[in-house]
Amino acid sequence: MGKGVLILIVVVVFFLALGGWFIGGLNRVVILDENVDQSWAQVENQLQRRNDLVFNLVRTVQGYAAHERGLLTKVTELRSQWTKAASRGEKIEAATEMSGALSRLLLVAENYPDLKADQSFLTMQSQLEGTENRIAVERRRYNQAVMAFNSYKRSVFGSLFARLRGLTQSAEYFEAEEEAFEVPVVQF
Amino acid sequence: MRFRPRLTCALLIAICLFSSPLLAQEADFPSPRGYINDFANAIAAEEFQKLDALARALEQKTTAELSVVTLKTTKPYDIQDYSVRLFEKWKIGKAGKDNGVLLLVALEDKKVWITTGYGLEGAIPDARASNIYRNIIVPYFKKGDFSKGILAGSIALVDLAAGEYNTTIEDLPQLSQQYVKPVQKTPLASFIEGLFTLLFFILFFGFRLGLFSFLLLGSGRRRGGYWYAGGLGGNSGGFGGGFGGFGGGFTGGGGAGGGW
Repeated sequence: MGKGVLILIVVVVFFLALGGWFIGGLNRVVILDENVDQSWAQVENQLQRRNDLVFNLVRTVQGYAAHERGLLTKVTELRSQWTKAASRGEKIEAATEMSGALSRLLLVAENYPDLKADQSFLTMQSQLEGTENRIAVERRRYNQAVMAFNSYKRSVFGSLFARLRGLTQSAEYFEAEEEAFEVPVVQF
Repeated sequence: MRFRPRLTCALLIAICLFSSPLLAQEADFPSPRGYINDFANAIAAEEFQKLDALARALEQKTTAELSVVTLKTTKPYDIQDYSVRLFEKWKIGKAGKDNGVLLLVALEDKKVWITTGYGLEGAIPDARASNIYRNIIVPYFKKGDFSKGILAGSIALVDLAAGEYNTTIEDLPQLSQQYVKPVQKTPLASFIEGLFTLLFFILFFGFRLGLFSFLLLGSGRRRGGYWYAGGLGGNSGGFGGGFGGFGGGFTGGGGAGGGW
């Protein structure tokens, strides 16, 4: 009889542990997925902030460097492309292109002494620099969250839980072209 | 039969342990010794004591946390990146409030960086941080006086942080008088600054760019009212108690800095 009770206890404990593990796994997928979304929201905040800055930047640059029209149009286009982008992938694409276009624009600005001396241009430039710093930070955190989610999803049981939760799609990394994010140094 | 559950349990535990993606944490970040971490031995005893007292007073009065770190180098990271990672690891500032600020000096790299927590980005906008770096810290550093440069920069930071909480710290006006003021400023410099201030107002009212032009041009370290503070008492840093660690704050990468 003592043996029977023992076996029963072991079996009950086993199933409790199994159940706990199972629920934990199901929850974990969701938490990791939530994390990805949350860190994406932070990235988006900063990208949005940059986009707001870009509007003023374009206006200022236009005043001094009207014949950089091609580049300015490109930046404006990318800005609305970002606004229209629906999926995360599209947004990442627009943002990456914007980084490239912006650094080119700031580089071109070097050729216009009047522009370089314009106080509001300098303000914007340094704000842009601050925003790029913040984007870089949030982007790194986002990629960390993506890595945590994706690797869990690909682990043996993780893939099972992910499927049970219907979270089968891998999250998308936000890879930046390294040079695209190098903002020209602001000279005062 | 009896062994299976145990085996399975062991297996499960193993799986739980190994499947958790322990994000490769960089091992080359030091642990905090206190608010002031002079890893590069750049701060003299007198200034160290003042810094420590200042950070303690700030924490006591406002819960905001100031950390000062000196290193030889931040390689392989650049200083901004390193600052954010160190901030993340130490969690400077209180959880939820994110009211930490980090002043990091890398002596061999000749770089200094101020990093603000999310909660202090309003009190210390990038432009102000940049101002503190450029006009308060660098002049001292150029003379090779790291202790005073760090102290003066910290005083300015604490002043801004305390302003966020509508409080002042007892010794601050006097310290500010002693360390921050003397760096300023030749007549030419104040003339130029006056010019910029004028320009700022023109811009501000002209274009109504509001916040944007305010951030850079409206900055400066003259927050009036330092002059009234004649003879406030000594500066003994006699707060008891040890350092209990930072409180769990986050940064979004705000701040400014550069080389000297």
